[in-house]
Amino acid sequence: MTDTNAEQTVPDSLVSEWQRLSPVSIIYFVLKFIMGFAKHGVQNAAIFGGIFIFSGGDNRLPIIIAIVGAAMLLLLVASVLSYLNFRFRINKNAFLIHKGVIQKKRLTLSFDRIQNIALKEPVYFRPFGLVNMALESAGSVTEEVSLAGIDRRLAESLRRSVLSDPKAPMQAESTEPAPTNTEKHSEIPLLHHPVAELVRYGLSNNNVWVFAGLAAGAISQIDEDVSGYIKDWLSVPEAFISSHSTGAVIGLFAGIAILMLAMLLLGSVIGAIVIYYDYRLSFSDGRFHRLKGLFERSDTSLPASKIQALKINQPWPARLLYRSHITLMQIGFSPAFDQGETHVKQAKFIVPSMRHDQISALVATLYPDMAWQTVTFAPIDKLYLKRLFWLDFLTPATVIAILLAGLAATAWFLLLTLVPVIIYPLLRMNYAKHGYWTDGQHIAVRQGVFGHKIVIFPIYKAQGVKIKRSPGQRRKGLATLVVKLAGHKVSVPYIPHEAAMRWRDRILHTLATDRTPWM
Amino acid sequence: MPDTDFSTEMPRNSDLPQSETLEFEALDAHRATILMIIGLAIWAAVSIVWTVVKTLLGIESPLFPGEFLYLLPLIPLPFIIVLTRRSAAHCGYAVRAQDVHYRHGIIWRSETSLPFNRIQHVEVERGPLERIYGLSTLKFFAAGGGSADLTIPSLKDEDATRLRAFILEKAGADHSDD
Repeated sequence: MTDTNAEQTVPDSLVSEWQRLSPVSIIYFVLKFIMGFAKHGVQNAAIFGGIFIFSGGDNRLPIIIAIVGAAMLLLLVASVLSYLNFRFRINKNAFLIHKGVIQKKRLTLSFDRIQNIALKEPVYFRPFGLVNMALESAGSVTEEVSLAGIDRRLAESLRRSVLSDPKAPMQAESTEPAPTNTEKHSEIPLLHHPVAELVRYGLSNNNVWVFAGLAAGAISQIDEDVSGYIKDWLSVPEAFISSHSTGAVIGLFAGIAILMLAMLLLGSVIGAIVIYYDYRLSFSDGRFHRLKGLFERSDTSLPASKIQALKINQPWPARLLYRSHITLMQIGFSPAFDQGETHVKQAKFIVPSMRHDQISALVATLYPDMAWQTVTFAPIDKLYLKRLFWLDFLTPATVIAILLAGLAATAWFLLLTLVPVIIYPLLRMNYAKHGYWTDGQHIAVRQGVFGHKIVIFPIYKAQGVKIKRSPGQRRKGLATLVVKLAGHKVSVPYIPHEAAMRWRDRILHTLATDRTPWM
Repeated sequence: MPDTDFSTEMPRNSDLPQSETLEFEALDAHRATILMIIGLAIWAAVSIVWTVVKTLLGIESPLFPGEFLYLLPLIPLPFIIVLTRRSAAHCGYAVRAQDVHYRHGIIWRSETSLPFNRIQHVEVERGPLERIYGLSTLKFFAAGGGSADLTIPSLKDEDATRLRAFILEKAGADHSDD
């Protein structure tokens, strides 16, 4: 928890009086307003509708111009006012911020509560040597504090001081002799991605497939809702359909589907390049350091101690490309955490497109005591597969099939019961992907179907344990072990009850005796 | 620990406190009553809905005369009574030097363990039924996740207060020294 003895402070040279951001930050405020406006699209559609209604008649164009002009003027005025009303000062141990035009806000953000400081360098700040310093602290998403438009060097030295370990002897950055080879400062480079790797990430991250699924769903929804309109509109293809063979029509639709998928993939690749351009990851002084971004360079450092678990994700497309994507799982706490508010935000720190050797290097950096090469996953009990097939798939399929067959008075629906049989290989793959491993200090759990996800965490990061047993598991002497981490649950299903109890004993013993702070 | 044999199983360390020997303390005897009242209330609500639907829609069955369908809700009644009693009897909590445990469920059983030094805060709740019998529910929260990580229902008010004070002291003692 928050340490009261060792308070986080900055050197006197950084302490400042009340000051404003650079005037360039007006651009930031303009863009922020526009983004906010775009995000609340639904409400704003109503405003545009209003404009449209008002602007009926002959003088439609002048009215639209007047309204757009007024809106832009308002935007500019609001941005300038935001800039004028944003003032900050740096204390010995906190940021003080006054902001807000109509509703004034006064924030005090003590350095102790700051988890992470990200320096973002948008294109328009670059010529001026300015950055946007985002204080990821107290973790509430709504109250994210950022100082947009402060000097890069100031931001960097602030970050060094604020994030340095308060218990370690304070190393005053300014007075330090020429950067010698002190081991504290040796920076271990872990990753530097060329664009080709980002293309791989764009092709193989799961988002695009999830999005494709959603898009397909949405399209079919539209198809049902406004099929009337679309029918008129599609009279040409319909004529085409009626005049051509089924094969040609299927070919046409397959072509359209492939084209759409290709567009999605292209979008995903472009997105990956924009977000992760020139991705660099390194490790020094117990912190991961990341640089990324095309239009907005972001510079983040994450203390290793804040990482609760490591997730190695290899969706099936990534498997084809021999890459995995890693997530360093951390948590941020809401400001009310000390008052008993336990709602947390799960912050994601993604390391895209890692080769096997790079993963080994990252795991070795984060968990030096763990021998990642020796990890061999033990299989779970076969009863899991039986339950999956009989109980989770066949039973509901049979019930639905009988109901539908009864309602529709046709036996064809009984064929639905074949679905679980057809997908049995998938269930088997899912069963085979399940695996668990421990060396007495770390735990690794694997799951998946085509691809896999591996979660690794040191035992002292656990928060609690649960053992669950269904009637079937009790008959076979099995149990499901659930390890609760901060903001995450890891489940190990269908392992011997004996093993589950031994794991629980070990975890509880470690939590009671290991003094390593878990955050 | 140089043993490489641990790859799949935790080391069997005889000095570790063993949780299989946990002795669970039963909840207050009124727990069964409370569970039964809740169970019967849900049962009554479902039965009323069923009766109304049956009357309005005139659901018939080819197997037996229509009036018998009104008696359908009686079938689960004995199960509700038996299961709530057994469930209440099986529930229990255990407090050791470093951790607290709660077990519940008779068909799907589960045992939850929470070490004191991971407890962020404790809540005491007294629902309307519990107030009648002078009982409290203790909720323990660890970091991460909005819901309670361990809940012990139907403790006698004084037991709940005592347990809460004991655990908070343990948890607090631990926070201050790390």
